[in-house]
Amino acid sequence: MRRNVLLLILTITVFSISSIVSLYSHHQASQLVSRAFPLSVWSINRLEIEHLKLLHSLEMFKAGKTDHAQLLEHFDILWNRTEVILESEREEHITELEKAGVLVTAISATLHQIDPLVIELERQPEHYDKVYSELAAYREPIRDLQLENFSDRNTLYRIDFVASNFKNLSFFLSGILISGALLVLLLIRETRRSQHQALHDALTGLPNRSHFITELDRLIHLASREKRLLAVMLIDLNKFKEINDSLGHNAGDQLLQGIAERLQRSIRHSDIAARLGGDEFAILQYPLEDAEQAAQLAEQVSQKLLDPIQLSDGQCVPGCAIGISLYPDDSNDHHRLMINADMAMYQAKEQQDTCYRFYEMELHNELQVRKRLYQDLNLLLEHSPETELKLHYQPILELNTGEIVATEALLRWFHPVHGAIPPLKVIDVAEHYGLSRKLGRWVLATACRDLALIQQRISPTFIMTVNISPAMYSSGTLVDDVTAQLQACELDARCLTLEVTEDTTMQDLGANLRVLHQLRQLGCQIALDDFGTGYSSLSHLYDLPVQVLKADRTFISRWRQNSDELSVLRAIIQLGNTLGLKVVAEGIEQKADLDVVRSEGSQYGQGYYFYKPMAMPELLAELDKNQQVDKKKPAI
Amino acid sequence: MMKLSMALCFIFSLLLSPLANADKTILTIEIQTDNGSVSHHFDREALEKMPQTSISTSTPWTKGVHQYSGPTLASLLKALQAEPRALRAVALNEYVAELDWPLLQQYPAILAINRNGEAMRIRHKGPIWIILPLDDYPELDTNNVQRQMVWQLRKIEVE
Repeated sequence: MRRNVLLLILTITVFSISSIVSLYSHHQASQLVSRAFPLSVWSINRLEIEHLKLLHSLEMFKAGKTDHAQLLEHFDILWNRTEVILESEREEHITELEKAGVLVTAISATLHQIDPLVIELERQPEHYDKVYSELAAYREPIRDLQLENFSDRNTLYRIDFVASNFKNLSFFLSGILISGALLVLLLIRETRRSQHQALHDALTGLPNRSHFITELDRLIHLASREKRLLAVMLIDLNKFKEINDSLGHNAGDQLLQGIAERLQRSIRHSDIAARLGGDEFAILQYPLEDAEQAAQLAEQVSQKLLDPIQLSDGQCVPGCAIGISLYPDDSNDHHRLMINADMAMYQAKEQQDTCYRFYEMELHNELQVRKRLYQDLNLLLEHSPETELKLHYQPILELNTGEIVATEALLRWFHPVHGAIPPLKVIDVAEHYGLSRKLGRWVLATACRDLALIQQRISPTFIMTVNISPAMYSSGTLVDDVTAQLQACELDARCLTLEVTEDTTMQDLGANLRVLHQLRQLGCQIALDDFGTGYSSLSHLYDLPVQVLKADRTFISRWRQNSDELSVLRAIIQLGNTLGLKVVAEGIEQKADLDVVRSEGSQYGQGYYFYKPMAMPELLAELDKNQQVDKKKPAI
Repeated sequence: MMKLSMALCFIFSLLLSPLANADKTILTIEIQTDNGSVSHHFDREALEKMPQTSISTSTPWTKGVHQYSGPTLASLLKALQAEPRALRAVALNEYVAELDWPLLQQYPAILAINRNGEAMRIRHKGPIWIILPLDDYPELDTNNVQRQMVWQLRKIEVE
């Protein structure tokens, strides 16, 4: 950089000096020719005329045809001419002309010499011949000078000097040309470099986003002309944020450079890899025979990014998610292709098996529907949740007595367009768009209100269980919300059971554990839902303040398919009993299911064999019936 | 017409010149009127009697600064009640220059008859030299003005 600046300064200096010197010497040369020439022609011409007039006057004087005064006048006029030529600054250049200078000086000397003779000529005519011959001697030299003035100007005006001046001029002119050419070259190089900088990412040297989009447009045109496929791949790194946060920006930069290098090595010459910003990379694959070829490249890239990258502070396995959209299958428009690839990339992030995913139309629709659902749900929670949101209840029975002792509240959304929306989907939408807390509050409030009603009609110890979603944990207000609802409905906290899953609890064990302990202190019971399917670690059973284990329905359905597979269910029930926990067997669908779980020692059960989830009025009716049956028939 | 009148003037002045010499005339002012021309002759004495203006200046044809003095051209023409439309100066060596009358009124243009208090010989650009204050008015240092600074002046033709 420094060297370039020096070179630039040097070139500009040479250019300027050459220009100035050339200009100066050109000025000098042209002045010499143009100014000297007309003036000297005039002066030498006058000199000759005035000289001839004096000679003529002398002859007339000798012949007695003119008087002495007239002669003196002509003498003085010539005198003045020589004086003007020799003294005047305007005529300086004439005397610079060697020959002219010498001649005029000689004439002037002669005039001074014969001055006394001329003055006395009237009285002493014998000097006439001397005076005349002295003056006449200049006739030829003046004539020669006049002639030379026209015919042989080169030597007279020292054109050779002018020519040598031109030699200098051309030397400096070539200086101008060379330094000028160098300047142009520097300019071109600088322009190229800044153009490259404008189009490329400084860190990795890959094309940047705007360059990438330009290339995408170009390839779209090419592909449409050549009727071939083009793949747009967006690549998102999995670990970048962690690396940057834990190892620092330097490591982050190294990682990005490493990735860029691997991408460059993975692609063909006709493909383009770019860094769009942050940890987002992209590849344009063209030409392409079929989608399979794009899948191969994606697979290859994701494999390459699974190899550890060596950083100065250790190594890391970047890993990535790749979203692919194809021209013209998915869209003709670069904007759409980018969005589609982006959507596919987010889907790819969520899937486990492969790191890449093609854009599919359904993907788009799915996301659109989800967004609409969010808008509807948001509106609903703001205004009148009860019109479409319902809680359905599925009773939990004490197996020995057949008595309904509790009920699990299950969320239902009857959407006017999409019909009944699965609870998991509702939770997903709420979690994704940050509505969990609002939704959770509504669920808690409704469940508590209904529980109060049930306790009034059936039993003051009746228990309600409510599912807690992950976002409700992390909202930080779960304990307050629960406390508020219990107070509002004047309920005993012991009658509210909060169901959590292992998976959600394990996501942030520290914080969630604190929340669970607070709930426990409040008096609520905690139930571990879907037990045995998630990150089951028996040690958690010590840490978590759990009173209820709900054995997942998969265990009973496995036994249903193969009567040998009872061991896990048995183990869970025994584990619960051993730890003094209440065990609820989920998914009881037939009499045989009931028999086996009861014989294995499970106290409680839940399932279609007893009741499907139902609306509040039906539940109340069933509870009434159950009470009557219960009184008549103590055991099932 | 112009050429003819110039030719006439030339012939006329040739005729006049020995006469002028004879009676010490150094300057002739020839005024053209509708009824022909009238000539006024001035010897050195006459010019010396008029109000003198002096100018210290250098010129392109001489070395150093000198003091020149003489009557102004304007005062001379005023004394003759001439209202020139055109002026022409003629020198002893037959050099002729058209004078720019508006310009010469604007600046103090003198008919110098003395240099440093002494009469100028013909060999030193006398007897009369039209002098303008070149040093005081740098804008006068042009070819057009220098052309009008006629030395060895012998006649001014007024139209």
